[in-house]
Amino acid sequence: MKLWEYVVRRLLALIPVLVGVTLITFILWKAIPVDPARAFLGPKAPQSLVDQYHRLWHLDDPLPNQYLYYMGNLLRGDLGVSFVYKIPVTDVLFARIPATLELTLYAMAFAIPVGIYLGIRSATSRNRWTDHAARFVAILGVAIPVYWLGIMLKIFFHEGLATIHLDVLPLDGRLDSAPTSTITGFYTLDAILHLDPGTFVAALAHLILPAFALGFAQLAIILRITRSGMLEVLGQDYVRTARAKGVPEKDVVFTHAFRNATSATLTVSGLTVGSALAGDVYVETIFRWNGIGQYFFQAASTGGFTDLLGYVLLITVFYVAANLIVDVLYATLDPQVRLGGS
Amino acid sequence: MARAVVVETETENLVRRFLEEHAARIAELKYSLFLFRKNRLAVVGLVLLLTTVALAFLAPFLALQQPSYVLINGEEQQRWAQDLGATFLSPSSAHPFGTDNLGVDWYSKVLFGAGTALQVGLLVVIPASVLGSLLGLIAGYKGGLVEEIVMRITDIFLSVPGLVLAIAITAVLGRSIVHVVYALIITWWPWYTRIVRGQVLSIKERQFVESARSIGASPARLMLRHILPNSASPIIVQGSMDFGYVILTAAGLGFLGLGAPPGTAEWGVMIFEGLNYLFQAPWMATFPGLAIVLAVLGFNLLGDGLRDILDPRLRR
Repeated sequence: MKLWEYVVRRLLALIPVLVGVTLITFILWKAIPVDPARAFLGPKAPQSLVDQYHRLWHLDDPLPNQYLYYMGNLLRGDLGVSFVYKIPVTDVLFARIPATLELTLYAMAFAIPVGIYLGIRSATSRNRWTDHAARFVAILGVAIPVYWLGIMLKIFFHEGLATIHLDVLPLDGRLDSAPTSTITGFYTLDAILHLDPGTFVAALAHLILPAFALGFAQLAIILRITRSGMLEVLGQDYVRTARAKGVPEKDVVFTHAFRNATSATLTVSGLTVGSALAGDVYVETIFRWNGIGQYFFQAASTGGFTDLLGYVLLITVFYVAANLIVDVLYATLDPQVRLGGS
Repeated sequence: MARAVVVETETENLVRRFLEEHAARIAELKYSLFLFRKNRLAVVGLVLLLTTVALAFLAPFLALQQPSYVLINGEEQQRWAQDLGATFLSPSSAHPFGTDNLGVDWYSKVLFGAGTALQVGLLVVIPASVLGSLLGLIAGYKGGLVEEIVMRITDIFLSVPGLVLAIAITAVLGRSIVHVVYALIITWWPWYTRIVRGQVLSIKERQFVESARSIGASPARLMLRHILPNSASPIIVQGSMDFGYVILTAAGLGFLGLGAPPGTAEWGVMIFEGLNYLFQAPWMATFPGLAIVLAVLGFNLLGDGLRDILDPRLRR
């Protein structure tokens, strides 16, 4: 199977998934005895307005028709009007996506290399103190809730360091004052494009704590998988052969062993993107980061159906895309893997 | 006297016969216990877990303050007596974990939170694993169209990050700890279906299943008596791990304001309340979070240890 053919197939397989997700959420939404018109317009809105809203969104039609109307709008790229901001959901999402992507990318750019490096070090120095320390990080990483880690970082950097006059890192937001013009919406990239080193450093400083909080759990998972993959590979004959014929240990570990241990690490890296996207909801809430995660939190507390569903659909697309990229990379790195099975 | 001797030999006989009949199983159990004791981290996990359970049961006796319960809209809600003269007290011997903005003793609330967390864990993991395993069993055993349908539905659920789906479901259903339980069951069962189906596919072709079928065992008997027990270990391991993750996720939903009502002794809600007084009363967010970490750590370490013991490939 050719690469493009495989990618197209995977994208087509996304359709039933998205339909399934909309269906699950739609059924649940209809199962609760809340009038969406009232939820949208507020308890004091006049009855005529509520009726008008019902007609506008076909809320009095039979359920299957309602669902079809909803899906029809969706196919035209219309996710409905936000319950939170009263403007189209797509507008809200587009304005906020760069913030979330920037945070998530920085978090993964920290978690993946550090996780892999620690995993390799842990495996090559098995049962020594580096290994024990790395395994401790791996165990803690999955047990510490991301929301608690974020809060602890804030307390530590506020309380602990302010007493010794070292309040180096900003605790809230993406920048102290919003930039006057944006090109991509990625503040660090914009700063580079504007040739503005001051803003770049400031944006980076704002990223450090939230990206660390978000990346820590992913780092732990990647570390764990890399370690077990490396341990398996390091015990094999060809590694012993390589050592016996005098290949330097560094090359044995990184070239011979690691290339063959990457597959599991890669797969897990794709999966951790999903947990990072979910963790965004907490990190953005705690660090007042104006991304889609924070928007999802606002939507969750108001119960806005269009907002919730718009977010879930977008995240599903991101998640599936991340795993698709991983699968393609996988096939490029490992010639034994054929896309789409035998 | 003579009578007593006869009775003794009879009991001894029974014991001896029992030991002989089950010799293989007893040896297996002894070996497993030996492996478990050797796995120091698993023992630490078990201790953490038992401590959490003990604290949950002993909370009413250990706490410095007791909650009262009121019925609101058919749901029982917790009330904690306020003491506005003792707000924001930092941890001391009188209040080991300090007090909150209403003067409620935080140590008592953290203790009562253990019960809430364990209840949610049980109410999610047991139904999710039973439902998921049964579906996986049927899909793997029947094959064909049934398998195709079940597994495609499973794929749909697994292609959305679990936490995101759980948040959406609870947000749509409305704030309640019962809805959190529903949402987590909905997001958790597919993992069991996938695991059990894989197990069934490899087990159903084995000889002992074939021979049971040839002597006329019904499909239900084959599935429940022969196949399921032989795919139990991965379910147990997954269940133990999931118990921790369910506690973590449920608290996360509580933190987002989707679970227990404000003021309840639930760790996630308590951390969120602490977020409002982060720099004024840092202990408010610190202690419930620490409780989550220790409980989750217990279940994770135990699950890891169980895997090492139950997986025959890792036994040696």
